[in-house]
Amino acid sequence: MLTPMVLLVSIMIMGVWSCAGKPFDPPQAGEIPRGPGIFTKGPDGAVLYDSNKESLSPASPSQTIATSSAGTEQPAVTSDYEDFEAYREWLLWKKSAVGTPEYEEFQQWREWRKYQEWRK
Amino acid sequence: MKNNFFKYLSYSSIVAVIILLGLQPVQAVEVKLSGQINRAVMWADNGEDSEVFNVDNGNSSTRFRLTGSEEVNDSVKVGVVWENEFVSNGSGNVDIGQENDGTSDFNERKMEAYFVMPFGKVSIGQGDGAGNGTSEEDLSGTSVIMYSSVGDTSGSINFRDDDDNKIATIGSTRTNFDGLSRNDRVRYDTPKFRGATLSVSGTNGDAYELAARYSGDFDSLGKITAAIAYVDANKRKDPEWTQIGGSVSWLHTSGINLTVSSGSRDIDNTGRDPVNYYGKLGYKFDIHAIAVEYGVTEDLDQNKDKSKNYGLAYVMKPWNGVEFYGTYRIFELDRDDTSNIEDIQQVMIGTRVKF
Repeated sequence: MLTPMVLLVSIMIMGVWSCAGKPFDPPQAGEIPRGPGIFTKGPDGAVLYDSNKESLSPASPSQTIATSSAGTEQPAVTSDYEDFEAYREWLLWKKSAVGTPEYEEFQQWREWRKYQEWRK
Repeated sequence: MKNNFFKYLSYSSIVAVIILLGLQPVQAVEVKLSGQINRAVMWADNGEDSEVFNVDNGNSSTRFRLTGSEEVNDSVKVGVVWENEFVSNGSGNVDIGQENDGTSDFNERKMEAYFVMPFGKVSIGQGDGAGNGTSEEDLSGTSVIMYSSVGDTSGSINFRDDDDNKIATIGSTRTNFDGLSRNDRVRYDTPKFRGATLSVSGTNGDAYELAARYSGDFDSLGKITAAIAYVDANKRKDPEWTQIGGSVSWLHTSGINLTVSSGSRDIDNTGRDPVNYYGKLGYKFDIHAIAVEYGVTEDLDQNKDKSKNYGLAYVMKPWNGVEFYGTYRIFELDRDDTSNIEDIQQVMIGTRVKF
């Protein structure tokens, strides 16, 4: 008796409420969850090929570490935005690190680079 | 023989080049790889003995998936889905007394092509039947470890009497009457109209499924999703049966959520019409979700059986794609001609990582 009642309620809810409310895609129990994964930012998973980008590339290069055939890790390519973020962090560090041994070492490294350029 | 082979090879190459040259520029192509690892430690006690298992969580097994789609023109999108699971010691396959790693099963889940057009979506191949998932609508955020298909995490554990005799497995006494799962079928889905969709699919054995789904977001009232399906298993099952099942899940903006699922089956020539009732009350906040459940299936394995369970679950999602979960469940079986059937207790703690 309860089963038909529950199902009747379902149909009524579907019928009455379909006049209002914004549609959405509910999660499916048992399926791979929607949304980004641990390696990716995309909604559905890693994009192996995207014709809009016209290249084979992972969806989120900044979060991946490319592994060569020998198994050694190589740094991944970063996007312009991440380069910019790194540059801003570097500016902050430069401002706060004046007088520290690290800053002195950095100045020595710059002098050494100039010296190398001069030798060429 | 050798000349024929090279002749065939050259003809094939010419045909391939012609096909490639003839391809129209595509509007948008995407090929995606995704998957998940879902592993847990499970403790179970059948009243006579207990065991700790390292298992693959049967609620949502370890798997990978390759999907691709192409918008061939403004009104047609063609796509493929290829999904396999690789289950090592599945939680639904273990029973107390098992001391090894169990079996490793590599199974097909989905291998289908689909066409999305203005009048709907047509799918062909191994995939969800129209009714699959209709008894499993769940917005609680805890379905990774606890939902209406209670046998997925512990289906092979046997109920035993106090003399340690096997009575029946949990799986043989419980079901949520959720369509015909995935099968080799042709399926049609109407376009979504104000959140509602109708679906129909036909599979081998002259079996077919009809389903209706609805999902809507009502702002301050929260979200609701509901589904219902009618299934005629026809010659696909012996004895033949028809079934109706459905579920409703509501998630209020406060995080409180309520899920109910029910279904019944009319089995030919057995005099048995098993029925299932399931309810879950939960609360979702920040990265946390907790829920309690109660479910009972009657008359599935034998007439006058009542196979019940109570459960408590907690899921935490601290980072994108990562979930940690835990659950505690008690299973009970009342059988008319058998007394002293021991309860089964189960605890599972694990993680699902999507990649």
